[in-house]
Amino acid sequence: MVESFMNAVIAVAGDPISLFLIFLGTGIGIVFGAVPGLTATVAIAMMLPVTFNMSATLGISTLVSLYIGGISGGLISAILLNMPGTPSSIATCFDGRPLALKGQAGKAIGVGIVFSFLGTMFGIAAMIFVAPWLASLTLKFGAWEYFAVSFFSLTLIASLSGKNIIKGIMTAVLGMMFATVGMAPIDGVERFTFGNVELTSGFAMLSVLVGLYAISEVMKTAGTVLRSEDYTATEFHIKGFGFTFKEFVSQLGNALRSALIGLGIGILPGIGGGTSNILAYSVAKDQSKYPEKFGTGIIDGVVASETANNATIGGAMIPLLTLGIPGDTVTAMLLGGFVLHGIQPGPLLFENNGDVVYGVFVAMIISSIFMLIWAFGAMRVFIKVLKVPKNYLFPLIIVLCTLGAYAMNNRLFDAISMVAFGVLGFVLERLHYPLPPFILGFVLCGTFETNLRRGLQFDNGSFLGLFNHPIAAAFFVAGVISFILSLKRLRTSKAA
Amino acid sequence: MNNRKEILSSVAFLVVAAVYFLATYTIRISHAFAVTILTSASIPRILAAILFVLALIQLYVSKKTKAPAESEKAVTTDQTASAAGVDIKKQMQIAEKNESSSEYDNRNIVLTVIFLLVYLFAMTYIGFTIASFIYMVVQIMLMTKKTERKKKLLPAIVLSLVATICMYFLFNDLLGVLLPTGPFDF
Repeated sequence: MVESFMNAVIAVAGDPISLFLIFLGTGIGIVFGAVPGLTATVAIAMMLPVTFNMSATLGISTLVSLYIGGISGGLISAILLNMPGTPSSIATCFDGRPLALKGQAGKAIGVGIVFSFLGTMFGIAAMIFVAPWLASLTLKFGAWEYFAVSFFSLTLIASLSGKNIIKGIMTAVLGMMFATVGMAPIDGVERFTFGNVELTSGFAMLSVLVGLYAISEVMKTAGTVLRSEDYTATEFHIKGFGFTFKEFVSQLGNALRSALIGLGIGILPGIGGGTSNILAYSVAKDQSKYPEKFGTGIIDGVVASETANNATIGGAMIPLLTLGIPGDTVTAMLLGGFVLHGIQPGPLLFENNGDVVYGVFVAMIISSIFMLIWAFGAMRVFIKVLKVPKNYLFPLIIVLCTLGAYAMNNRLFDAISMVAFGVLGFVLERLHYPLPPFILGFVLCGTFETNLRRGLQFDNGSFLGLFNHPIAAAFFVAGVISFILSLKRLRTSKAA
Repeated sequence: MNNRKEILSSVAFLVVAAVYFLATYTIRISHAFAVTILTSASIPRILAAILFVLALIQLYVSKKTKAPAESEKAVTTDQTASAAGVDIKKQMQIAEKNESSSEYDNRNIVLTVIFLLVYLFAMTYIGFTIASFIYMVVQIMLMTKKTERKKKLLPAIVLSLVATICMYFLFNDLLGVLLPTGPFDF
């Protein structure tokens, strides 16, 4: 493992083009993270066509840099504009904004950046040590195991996203329904194609993801942009890192706990930064000696939120790399990126494309460092970018996303379905149906169905085969339990 | 949230589930794989059934709950420091209210989608570059306040031109990505 790592370091860090792309990717990611309405998912969607003709390592390194920049950038607008740049930075507003109002925006930003960096590194370290080991375990996964893990993931995301569990499951099922369009697994019969050649291969994941997130966001912006005011960012001054060494040390316990929370949430398939930052914040508040101060402008809040959301990055990569199951929506996009470069994430990834994996590890470390450099060095530039009017920025984004969707398979159909999913995503959001379960349902349906049917074939139609496999049974039971618990939660919240 | 919208959306899901279920009868059942209980139509039918049941539950729930009186004005995040510190649940509710109560200009949204579709179809005839240029100008104008449209037309044209040309060279020449070309070969 050490040798692979060293080889990767030489390959990635020694290549100036690779360094340049990681640097650029991180910077662009920060911009997307900072602008409310744009997220890391959109950034990756847009850059996918740019990476088409790159080598796998180079392409995916660029994409993960966007991820790291995208999650880190959210704190800028959270603190200065009181608007989270991405859902991963919602909790940063809670204390970041009061700090800014108290004239301590520089401290908030400094703290946010440094602890984002630490959180990212923590997540990456966990990923580097856990993923290869986990991959050796998942190598032994068979059909029943994959079925059980996807079942578990689906119950988890349906019950944990949003307040309404019923709606969560409904959108998950809807996502799965869309995934069934095309050729069925095992026997290859056509489903729901109605003679249309284009539908034979089903809907492209890129179209679904980009449409659901980017296009629906653009539609939202189109609906509100005529009435909105331009952003006015708070002034801030920052000297050095913005905070004292003593303050830094006092936050280490908080940071560690938040990083662990972020890592854990990241590993759980489907849920990501959007959840971890809020959870880490509330845990920090509960466990603090001065909970009443949270919300008035203390750095603890910013530390908790930002460490957690960045630790989620490494965490979310773990199930992606070892199982091929995305840890959050951004990694769902990365999954598309891998597949685009002809690489199938999963346990065999380490065997067949180990160099790519370690290259990505190194790229992530380098990107985190670049993030520090960008954030401290070019903060003023990012603030200026925030002021770029939405009416110029968003049409450009649409064109780039369309380019990506079209250029992927040279099919107009992919671009049109992107728009269709955009409309669907917009409507679903307006009706308060959560989108993450849809994505996961769409991504996981294939694994779910294929492995269920395979398992049944192996065991001659007997469902009991599931229980002959302890790991599979454990995940299955865990999924059932999480489902029942969430039903209970629904019952108590209705009674309340 | 609007109770009527809730009921309508539940009904919509019911219809989707029903139609999807009926459509499963167009799936050819392959009997070579009769060993397993599940055919290629099984999972779709199970999904349809689950969705149908849930939509019924959602319909029942939305009929029972009365929507609380919603103010249409956006509320800023409450920053007053109370003795108990920040109430996370309250903050989330306020943030959500902000999201949903912003008045949407539906006309603009519909136009955006229409223009987008026209742009896509036009691309195959006049090529990516020209289509993107025209689309960008149109979309920028659509997203600009009416009073500023005349003023911002020239910057929009210049920006779109520069962006499209940059994209052409970046993707076509530097990155080798195939883009649809129109009558002029670009």
